[in-house]
Amino acid sequence: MEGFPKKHKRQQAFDGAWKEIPPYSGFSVQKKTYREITQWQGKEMSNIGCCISAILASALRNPDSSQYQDFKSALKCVSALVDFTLMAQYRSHTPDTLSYMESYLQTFHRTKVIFLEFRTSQATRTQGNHQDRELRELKADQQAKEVGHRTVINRRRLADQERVERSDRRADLIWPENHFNFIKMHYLTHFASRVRHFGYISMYSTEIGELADKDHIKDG
Amino acid sequence: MQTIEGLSKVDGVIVVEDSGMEMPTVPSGSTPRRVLKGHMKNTRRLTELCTALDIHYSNMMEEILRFIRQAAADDRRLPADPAELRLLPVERFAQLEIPVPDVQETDRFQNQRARCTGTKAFRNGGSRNDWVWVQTGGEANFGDLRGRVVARLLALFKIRNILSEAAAVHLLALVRILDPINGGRFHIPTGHIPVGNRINSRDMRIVFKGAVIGHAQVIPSGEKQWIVNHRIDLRTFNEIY
Repeated sequence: MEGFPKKHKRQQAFDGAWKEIPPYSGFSVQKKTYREITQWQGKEMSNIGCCISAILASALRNPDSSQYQDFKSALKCVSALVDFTLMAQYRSHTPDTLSYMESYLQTFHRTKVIFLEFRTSQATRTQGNHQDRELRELKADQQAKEVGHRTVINRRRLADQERVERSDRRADLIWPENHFNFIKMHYLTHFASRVRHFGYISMYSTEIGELADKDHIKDG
Repeated sequence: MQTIEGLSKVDGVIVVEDSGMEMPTVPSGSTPRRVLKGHMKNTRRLTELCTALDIHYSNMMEEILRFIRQAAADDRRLPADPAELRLLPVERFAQLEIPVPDVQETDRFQNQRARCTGTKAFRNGGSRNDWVWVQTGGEANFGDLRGRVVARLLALFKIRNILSEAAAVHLLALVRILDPINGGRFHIPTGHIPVGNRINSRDMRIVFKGAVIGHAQVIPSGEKQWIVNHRIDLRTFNEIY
């Protein structure tokens, strides 16, 4: 979520909107900016889900023509996921609510590609930086071996070519590694079918048992 | 556009003009009542309330007279004479507890606490004057907002009509209303409803506490504009779509 506003130079607007979230019943207002939060608790995560689409809409207001489609996709993607989670809170479902949920999920999967470039893992990023450094060193060696004077324009052109080459190679390395293939994302696809089979999903929640574990450990 | 002027109060029911919709001012037996809490000291008359809120007395009087004119002409009604109004005892409160029915189990209620501290600090922080939904018209009004508007609480107060035999107590809220932009319909690219400050007409209103139907959340979006966060909870999500 940080990457998208940063890429489009909307990070300040995003932080501004984040700081201005007004109080609401059952909703704890954050004192830190989004970037300052390093660890998210479960309650904080559910809080952010309630207001992230409005914050993003506020941060991405007044797009120029080049940004319009990207912003629209991003908002659609986030809103669809939030709508899905909201509808999942229903205590009873009808075929209509389940079909709404499936359509929200489809919209999310259709539009999530807009966030794919920000799904780079730490390992891939390190690998990319390493490759970058190697390429820069190689080019520097080649230039040192070359004899003869170059004009300023030539030097600048070469530097530009190098930058493009580095960026392309980095993209070639990173893009195939980025994905949304993680288990929590996959589970969402089974939600509707599981409700049809077993009913209200939350009644199978293990939270109560886990809470009891806490007491057992303390007593023990 | 339906405004508060379009509402007429008859026999404990607010009847919305045009739509014919009725909203009870007194809750039915099983419905919990809205409760004013957090009595604030040093406010005994309307003049003192105005001083505490930093509102010009003439503006307050104008609003309260407008409110009185809309109310049903019975012995509970407040006097329309400013000199008499000045004498009536007033109590100010910092919190309105609003029971909001659960989405799927309407016999269960969740209490929402809308705070309104005016200029006073709330829990060692800044002042807190919450955003609320105010029902001002029938479901056909204001597009997807369905007859409700977003407003900021300015004051919660109780005024007792000691000059009448009934000595009726009126529980009121002074609010600053935001106007729905684009007729209260969703802005398609963002998927949200924008609202903004009222520029041309008066934005302060006095309403019955019953017209305040719940907490609202709006996110600032530019100069004097906000975005309604209709995904803040399941109930709001269900009502605004």
